Amino acid sequence: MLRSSLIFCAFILDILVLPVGAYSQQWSAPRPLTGLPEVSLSVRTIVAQEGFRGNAVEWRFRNTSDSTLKFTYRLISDAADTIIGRVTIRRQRSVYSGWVIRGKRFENMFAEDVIITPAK
Amino acid sequence: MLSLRPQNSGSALEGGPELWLGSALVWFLYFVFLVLLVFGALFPDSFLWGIHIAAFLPLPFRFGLMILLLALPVFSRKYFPYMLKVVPYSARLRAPHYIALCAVAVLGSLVFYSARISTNMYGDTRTLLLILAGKKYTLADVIGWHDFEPLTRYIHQGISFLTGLDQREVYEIASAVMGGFFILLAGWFGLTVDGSPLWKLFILFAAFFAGVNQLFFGYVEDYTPVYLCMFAFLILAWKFFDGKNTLLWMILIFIVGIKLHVEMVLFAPALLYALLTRCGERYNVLKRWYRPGALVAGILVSIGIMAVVYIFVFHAYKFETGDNPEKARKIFLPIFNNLREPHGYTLFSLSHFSDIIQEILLAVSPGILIVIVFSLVNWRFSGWSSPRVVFYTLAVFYFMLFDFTVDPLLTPMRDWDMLALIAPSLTFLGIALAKPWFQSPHPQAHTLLGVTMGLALIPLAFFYVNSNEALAADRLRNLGVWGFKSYYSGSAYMVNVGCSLIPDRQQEIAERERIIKQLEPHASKPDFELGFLEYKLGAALLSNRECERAISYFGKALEQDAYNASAVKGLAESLLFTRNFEAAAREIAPLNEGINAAGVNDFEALEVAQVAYFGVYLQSRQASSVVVDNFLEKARPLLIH
Repeated sequence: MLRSSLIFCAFILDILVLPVGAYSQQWSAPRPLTGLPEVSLSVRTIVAQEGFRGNAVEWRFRNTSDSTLKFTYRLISDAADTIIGRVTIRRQRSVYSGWVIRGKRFENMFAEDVIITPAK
Repeated sequence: MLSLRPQNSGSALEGGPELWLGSALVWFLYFVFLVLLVFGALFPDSFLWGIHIAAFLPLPFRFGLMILLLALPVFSRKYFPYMLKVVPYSARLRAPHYIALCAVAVLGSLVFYSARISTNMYGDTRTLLLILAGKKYTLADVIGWHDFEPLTRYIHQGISFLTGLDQREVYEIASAVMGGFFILLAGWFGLTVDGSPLWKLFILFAAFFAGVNQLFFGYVEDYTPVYLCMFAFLILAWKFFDGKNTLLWMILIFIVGIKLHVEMVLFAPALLYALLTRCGERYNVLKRWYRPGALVAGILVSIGIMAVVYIFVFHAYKFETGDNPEKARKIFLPIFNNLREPHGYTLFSLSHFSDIIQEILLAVSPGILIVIVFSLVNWRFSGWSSPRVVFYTLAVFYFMLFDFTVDPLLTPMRDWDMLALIAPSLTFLGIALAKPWFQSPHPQAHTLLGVTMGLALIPLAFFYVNSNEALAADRLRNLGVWGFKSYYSGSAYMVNVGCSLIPDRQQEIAERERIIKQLEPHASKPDFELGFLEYKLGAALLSNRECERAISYFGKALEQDAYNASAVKGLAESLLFTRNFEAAAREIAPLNEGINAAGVNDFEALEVAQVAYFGVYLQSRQASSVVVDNFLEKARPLLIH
């Protein structure tokens, strides 16, 4: 009786929890930037607003090197929307930013004008 | 005319029993009140917050108020005869009376609606509307016990569904309509009760000019239906002690009232007393249960139970953190408060007693308080031991106990709505106590009625001030300053609401700066309330494009509370608009890592980061200032809301 109750409860819990997992904000797999493979980029969609301004997306640069990196990034979406910025990331650290873009994902991600400052 | 001589002795027919000072005492209390009113007007942010109303009236109105306050009682004998002509001597009303009463009720509803309290959207109202937008109330909710005011919400939501009107409008209209019903009910009671016409006039003034009316019949909250219900309950109690068979109706209204708002439960001891007196008529053995000794013992036991609940259930005797969530959870004032003076208010702080009296002054027609003090001084002739007065005293006592223990800064936006429900009980206690003074031609009858009329101007002044947004905002700011120097937590919210209602941005900024400078000498270290105000001033400066000064105030706010995410964001935004893009990026990066890494909580902070990174990019490309300016102007609507 106890065992079947536990299984039943676990089943109910799964039903409740699974949709939450499915709809939670998920990071995409990290992809290296073209021109600067030490920095990877992960993206997640916060709010899909098709037909309005676009999609609200958050992205995360992760510096996997042991140097401080300063670079200009250029992220181009599948709808040809371009996001540009220049950021400094210390070693083994991440920075976050976000914007509302046209398109659903970034297809091309470039880094240029890279300045590498080795750790002391 | 004014008579300060000691009252005559003699029989009741000649002028009633010998009283201590008689009319002179009434005049003395009245003049003390007027002196306090003047001091309140001179120092609007002082501890006299409950009678500072004259400070917010335009100058002509202020002088008019003072003249009327003196003239109305002094010349009362001149105009009373005209007023008494409309009051019937008998307890039966005729058709013209009912028609006139209905006309006054309709007019009252219109006045209540058109002069709605202008701060009615502050405090808990937004929360209430959000709850109603997110949940459909059913009869199961009404019957259940998980909500404090389910029937009120069920009714208002139902009306909104049926009429298609916005929920807020339904509350506003329903409150005003209930004001009309209140006028009908109070008018009918005052005119049909058995007593002298002067006393009937007193009842009408006490009921119609209770301060609580301007609060409950012109705003959006859950207290209006229960106020009406309480008034009906107390009328039925009056009839019960007149020998009418209304006990079952009282019980029914009591049960319905609890579902309208849980504060109705504070009538339980009084209702129990009424039940015992009824049962005692049949069973002699029960009579000893409502003798004075038994009543006092019962009150002591109930206080003991409440003390246990206060200490062991609410853990309210001390603050653990003293933050707003803890205060909202516990709702009661602590006995121990670790904050330093002047923020260390506790349940037994001396000033807290004056605050309770001022809360009461706001809620009732102030003449009622004069009658109660007068009756206390002349207690031997006041009928304190009559069952009716005992009933109303019990009702007042438990409401008073509740008001005494609750943190007053929980509901100050609209004059202490949660605490104002004491008004009906106090009004009826005052009416019951006043009856002997109006039965025979006592000289003090005219004096009492005259000062009650004069004091009725004070709630009218509150009505005027609270329906005018600019005046209400001014009053709220002064209340906030007083709150900062007393109960502290929550005071900044009041100041902020008062400032945000100033339409001119420059004036708003100047007023915010003035108040911060005024509060700084009383600040704790760190001071979260002051930090909140400094952050809000920074935001106002940023909206006004005064970025350098905004940076300074955001910095001050972060000195008070380093975890104020809004201040961090404001600081970064100000840095953006001074073209310090690198600095803005440095400020915003830890915030995004802290609050947007696990899941996005603040998308605006991410946008601020992107604007900063793009700004750095533009500067690295040595873009012209025109390009940078254009970019910032385009980004501005996204960043500053």
